[in-house]
Amino acid sequence: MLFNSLEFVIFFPICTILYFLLPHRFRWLHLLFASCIFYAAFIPAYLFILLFLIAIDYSAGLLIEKQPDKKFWLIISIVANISLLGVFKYYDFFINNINTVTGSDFILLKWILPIGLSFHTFQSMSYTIEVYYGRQKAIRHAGYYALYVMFYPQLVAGPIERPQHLLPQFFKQQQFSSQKLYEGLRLMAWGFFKKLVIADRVGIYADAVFNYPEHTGSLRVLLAVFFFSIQIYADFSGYSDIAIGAARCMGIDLAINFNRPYLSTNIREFWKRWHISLSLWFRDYVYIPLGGNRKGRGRKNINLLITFMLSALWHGAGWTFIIWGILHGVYTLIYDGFKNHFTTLKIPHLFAWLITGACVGFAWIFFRATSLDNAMEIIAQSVNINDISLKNILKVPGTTILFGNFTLAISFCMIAYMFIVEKFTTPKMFEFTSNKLTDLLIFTSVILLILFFGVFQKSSFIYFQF
Amino acid sequence: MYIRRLIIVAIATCVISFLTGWVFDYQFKKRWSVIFFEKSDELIKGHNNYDIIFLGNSRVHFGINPYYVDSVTKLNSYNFGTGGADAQDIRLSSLVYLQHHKPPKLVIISLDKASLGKKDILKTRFHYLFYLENDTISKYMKLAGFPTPLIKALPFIKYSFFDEYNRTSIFVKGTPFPVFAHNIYKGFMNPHQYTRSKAADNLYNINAGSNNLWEPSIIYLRNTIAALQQAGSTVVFISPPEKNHSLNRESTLKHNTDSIINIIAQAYHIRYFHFEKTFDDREEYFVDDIHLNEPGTKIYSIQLADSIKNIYPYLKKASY
Repeated sequence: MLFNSLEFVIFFPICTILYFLLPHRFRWLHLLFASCIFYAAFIPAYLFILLFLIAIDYSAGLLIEKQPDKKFWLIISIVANISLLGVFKYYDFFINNINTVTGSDFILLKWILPIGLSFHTFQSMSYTIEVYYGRQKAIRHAGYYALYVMFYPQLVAGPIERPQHLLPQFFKQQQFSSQKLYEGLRLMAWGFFKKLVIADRVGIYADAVFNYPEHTGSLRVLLAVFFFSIQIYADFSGYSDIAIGAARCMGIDLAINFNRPYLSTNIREFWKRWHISLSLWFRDYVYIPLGGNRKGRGRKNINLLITFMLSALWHGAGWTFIIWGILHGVYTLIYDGFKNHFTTLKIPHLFAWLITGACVGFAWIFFRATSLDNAMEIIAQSVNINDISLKNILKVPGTTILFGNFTLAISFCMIAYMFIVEKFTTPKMFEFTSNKLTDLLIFTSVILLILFFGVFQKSSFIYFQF
Repeated sequence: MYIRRLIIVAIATCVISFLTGWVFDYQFKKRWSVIFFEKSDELIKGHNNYDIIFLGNSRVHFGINPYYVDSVTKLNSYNFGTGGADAQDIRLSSLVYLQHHKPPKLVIISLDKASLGKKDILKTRFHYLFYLENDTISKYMKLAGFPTPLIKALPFIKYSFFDEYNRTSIFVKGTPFPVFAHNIYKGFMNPHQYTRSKAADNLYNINAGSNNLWEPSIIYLRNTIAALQQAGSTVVFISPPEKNHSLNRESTLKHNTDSIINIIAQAYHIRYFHFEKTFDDREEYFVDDIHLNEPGTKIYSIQLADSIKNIYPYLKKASY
């Protein structure tokens, strides 16, 4: 079920009201059932994959705790999770490359990727890893474990939760809190605003340029890359806001996933602010176990590159994603090297911010491109100055998109509004609670903007594909 | 305390939404009054009766001027053509017309290769969202995917479902219509005397049809004819003038559409007038491949009126 669908508008209040009406001992069952309905709205059959994953990791958790050979059961769990990802996500990519290189003709599976598979496998894996390290006790109640993996607000696009954070909240009897309800609804409204008013609007232009890059010219490419940078942020952080808000209405706190990443003045800061739950996952379960920065500079650099490569592969099985990951790895290495060699040099804040933005924006080209050829065409067009008149910037050759001056003006106004509001609030937007009038004005204006300027095309969230 | 805040937000949102919605309604209706609302008011709410009504897409809307038809036939006609109308839209128009008006003597349906392809045109008929009190409109718009009960309850919410072009049109002035004799007359209007306007361009781009016949559209057309004939109206098919008739003739879709239309015409004993070759590929009467300019419109309307007059002598006296 999409958050931006009428089904969800009906589903959410019913689910939340029932949650508080039911006695605590039935709430897990209710949430689990609701999560099944939520997930089954996409492809019902894929529920079985999820149940398989839950069964494996639930059993692995118990065995890791009870059996002396903990490592063996952890490996079984990880192999099962990675295999699932491998079959659905990476098999075709590798076979395709083998076929291209060797000229062989191995058959591709062409299976549809279960929505959010990378998210829930990672969340599930973090449970078994935490049990292995002894930081989390294995759960006896299979229902609660299933709910930990399937909790509907974060089931398909995160935030990727840790068991220590989420599970105790299910066990605790949550009391209805008008404050949490208010804050949750406000955050949901903010998420919907980012998705429906900003992401889906600027995405129209970005999609047109990326799908038809021929003869677009540098100005259009620049605008499209800028719009895609905004789209991916508004889309994904919008989803996270809705998820965190929906959970908060039921008294459950989810982890912060974004902390105004485009305010970053260096690439390390960017990764501390962008998709935080995934960055922490890779830090804790890949980078640190590889040795982190404890084994010398050379090894640290290799660890860093491996982590970024794996993070890229997590996003998608494609060379464009791999290049995107390598670029970020290289950016980080350059930044670290620069910082180590010029310890006293102070770079003007604005300049650092612009450089960071440009580097991130350039990498987004590979993230968005449908293929390497597509990315190269976009880069080639970015230096094509044949058609650089501002007058025709909104007309994308080969397309008939409805994106006029008014839409452009609305887009920029809404982007500015988003950044201004986020600049002065904490990541979860709770700060305005103290200033009643500003809070009411923002909440009301956001709903009105959604109602009148939302793009209701029922478009999916970009990160669902991962 | 927080519940009170929520109530304040809800009330403020509702009040502002209703007020803004009211302003938007006014602006949108004003912007599209000539193209859509005058005609839709006449179709859905009007009580005037007509001897002849014209149904079809922009080639009717911008191509057949009732002024000339009335002058020649001495009858009372009205042009209910709307840009992009397909068989489904024609079906809806005919049903709604029969609800409020006496059956016309003659219903002239203009069909071309875009009429029987799947276009989901009702998905872009946002002006129909202003007429949801009509059950038939409501039913068809619901079929097109609009949450009609919700829009009925909260009318301002309809703007959430508008596409960017139509929403923008609330704030952006349209191109003025060209002034020439009898332009904007009983449903007819021609937005492009000589060259096609940007607005019209956008409209055609939204409404671009598929390249295949859409099976349900054939059923819609059959049902339309059956309902009209049952009401006592005579149905006539016409195919409008084309600039590159010789080229279009080779189109598979055109060929398939023609075959279907001929079969239906025979089955229901319907006269089928062909005007494709009216201008014999003369470019000076067209603004693009399919739409006529003002002189073209005049000639086409008079020729059509002559055909009607010659073939249906019993229509010589106006009833309405």
